[in-house]
Amino acid sequence: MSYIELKNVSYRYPLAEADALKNINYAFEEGKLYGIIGENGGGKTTFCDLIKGLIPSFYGGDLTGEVFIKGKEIREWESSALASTIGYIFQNPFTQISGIKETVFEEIALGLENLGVEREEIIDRVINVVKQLKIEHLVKNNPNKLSGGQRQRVAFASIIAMETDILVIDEPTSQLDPKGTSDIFEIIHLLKEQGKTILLVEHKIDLIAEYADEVLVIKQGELITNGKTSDVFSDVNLLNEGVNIPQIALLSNDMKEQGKPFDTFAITRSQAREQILKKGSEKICH
Amino acid sequence: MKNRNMGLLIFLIPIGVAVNFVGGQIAVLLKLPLFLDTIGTFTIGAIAGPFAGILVGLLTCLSISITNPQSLFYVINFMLMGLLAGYLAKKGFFTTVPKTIGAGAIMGLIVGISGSLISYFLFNGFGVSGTGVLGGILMGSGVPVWASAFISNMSVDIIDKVPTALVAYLIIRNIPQKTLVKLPNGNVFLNAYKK
Amino acid sequence: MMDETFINSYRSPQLSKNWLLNLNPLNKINIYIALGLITLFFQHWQVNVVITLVFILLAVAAGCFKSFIGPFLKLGLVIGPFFFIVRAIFWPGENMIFNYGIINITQEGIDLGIQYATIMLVVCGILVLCTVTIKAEDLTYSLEKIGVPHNVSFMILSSLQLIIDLKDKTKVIMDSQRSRGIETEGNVFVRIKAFVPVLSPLFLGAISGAEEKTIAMDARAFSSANPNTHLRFLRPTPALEKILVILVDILILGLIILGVVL
Ligand SMILES: Nc1ncnc2c1ncn2[C@@H]1O[C@H](COP(=O)(O)OP(=O)(O)OP(=O)(O)O)[C@@H](O)[C@H]1O
Ligand SMILES: [Mg+2]
Repeated sequence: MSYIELKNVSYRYPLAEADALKNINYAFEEGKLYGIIGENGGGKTTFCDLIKGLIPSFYGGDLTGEVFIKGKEIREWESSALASTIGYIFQNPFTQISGIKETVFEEIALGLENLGVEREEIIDRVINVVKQLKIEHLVKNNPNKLSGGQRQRVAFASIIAMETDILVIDEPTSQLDPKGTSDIFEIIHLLKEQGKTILLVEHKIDLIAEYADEVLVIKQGELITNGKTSDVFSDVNLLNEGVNIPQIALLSNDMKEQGKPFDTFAITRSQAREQILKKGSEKICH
Repeated sequence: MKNRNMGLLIFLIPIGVAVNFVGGQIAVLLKLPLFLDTIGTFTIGAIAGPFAGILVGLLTCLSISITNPQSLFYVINFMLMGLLAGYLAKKGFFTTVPKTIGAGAIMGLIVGISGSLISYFLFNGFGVSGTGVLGGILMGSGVPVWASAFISNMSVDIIDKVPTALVAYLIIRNIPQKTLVKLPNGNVFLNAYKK
Repeated sequence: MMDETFINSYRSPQLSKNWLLNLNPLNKINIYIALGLITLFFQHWQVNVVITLVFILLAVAAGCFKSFIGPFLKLGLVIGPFFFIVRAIFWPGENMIFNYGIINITQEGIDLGIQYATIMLVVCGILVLCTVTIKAEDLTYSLEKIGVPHNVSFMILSSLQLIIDLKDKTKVIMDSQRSRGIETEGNVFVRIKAFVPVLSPLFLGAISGAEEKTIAMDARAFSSANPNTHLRFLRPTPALEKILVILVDILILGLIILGVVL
């Protein structure tokens, strides 16, 4: 049984002229990190909202086909059960802070309070995520007075504290500086190590190349390509679909066209470095 | 799964309250001769229905009382405005400029009457702000107490509520359709805009 | 390293060193309002003044005199005189003291003015005392404890926070409008025209934020049907406190009956 499965899913927003998702079939496996990419307006956020159970219950519109989360059709899930199964983090750090709590510690606890978790367990879980995300220094602060980057970390912490098996993360770093971005990816990496299943929408393609196990490319509501990250990026035709390709993948491709391909197609810097070092040493040996 | 748009209403109501505050504050900063401190109630009531409007009014009244204790006695008025905005909007009143002016006038009239009654029975006919002075001047000139209460309260309310309704109209026109579809009165606006 | 005492503060009920502050918020409100109600049954301004003094004493007892007296005077010194003056100079009475044009000072007007001005002092006292002795989050906690849904808490607390947020944003927008050359001064029409461009980005921005907030809070199990727990909590009301509140209520009821009979 697949972890998350979409069968012939099409969706049209209310009042819309065209489908935002078109006949999508896909099965996600447990424990993998999936990168979701594609041009603006392609339907990535819609896809996330669908898996989060917000479609159609929040957005309305016409959903056809079926979405199974852990074997159960999405429309049959209780919203609180879903909230403790799938976590959702998105772009805007400001709207993800509740605005009703006086300290970051309480803010992170909010989701657990709503789930009815006992106090001692709340405290333990909050302390744990706070340590994981290295935000010990923020716990006493007022969450409504944090910077954007700090808020995004608190938003992450608040969702991670709920210990969901699945995380849907939609452009978490678009408002962050390079340092903030790499911090967030460190966290994402950590979550993957813990065995979470992660769906990640991200425009920074090098990061997808580095962290994703599989990549899905969505264009105009259709799932146009999917597969192992290195396979997807080894096809430069993707550029014509409005998708960026990592510079390193382009380099690997150039080498191939020059008749001097790497032994394995590199898509990240470290892979390329390895290949180049290998080639270099081969040369010396010759 | 149960419909989650209830959630959206819960998040819109505090916005209505806060907008009432800042609307009034901006009017003061710009030294306008109007209150404009019920735009949130009008707008949220109009798009999210009478019940949401009543809650915006109630919460506004409670939070305003902290700096303006007299308001507490007019809590019925605050709620009435939300109720009327929701009801009139459902009847299509906030969809065009002329109808909006009509809605503002009706609301000014009704709220004016209930305000006068409150002033008359609780405060000897004196309003609790500038209207009190106006009422007083009328009394001083020999107008009977009840008439002074009505004239002073009603004139102020009608002068204030028509522009308030117009601002609410402008705001609603700019709310994206995708938001309107999720709201109780949204279809009224969407159907009207289609024509 | 995290602050242990801070974390432990969530393990025990929120308590201060002051007995009055430690009363349940709803009991505080009960006592304040009960005291305030006395004014309605004794139509003597002296009674109102005494009750106002009681409120000031309560503020002292709560150790909040400093935070109380400023706002109280600021409100009371505006509202009290306002209520007095309009009645004193405009109320149509029989016993004329002074008359010039529309100014018409009568004994009845002065009596009425004193009566209302002092009642308003009591009202200001109740409200200011509530704000300085009750934390909003404690109030919503105790409301939830008597069965009010936590949606209501959310609306109350969120309103208070949004007022702060939108006020800050108003300042930013007004400054930027000014620097972009949109006139915010000049004649009435110019200023009216400036109103909408200031308010509408604030309002529309907040509305679109509300959609995202719904999604974000949904992910935090906001719509969960389970009864929610509370990290931060207040002590259960001690029996002594319950008795105290009932006694105060009975006493005040007695006073009121006395006042009506007399
Ligand atoms: N609430 C909505 N109502 C109607 N149409 C919508 C709504 N949200 C998105 N759309 C439309 O659906 C399509 C897919 O949008 P979506 O936001 O899912 O794209 P995206 O891939 O996330 O884009 P981006 O990279 O810009 O975030 C777009 O054409 C968009 O205009
Ligand atoms: Mg998107």
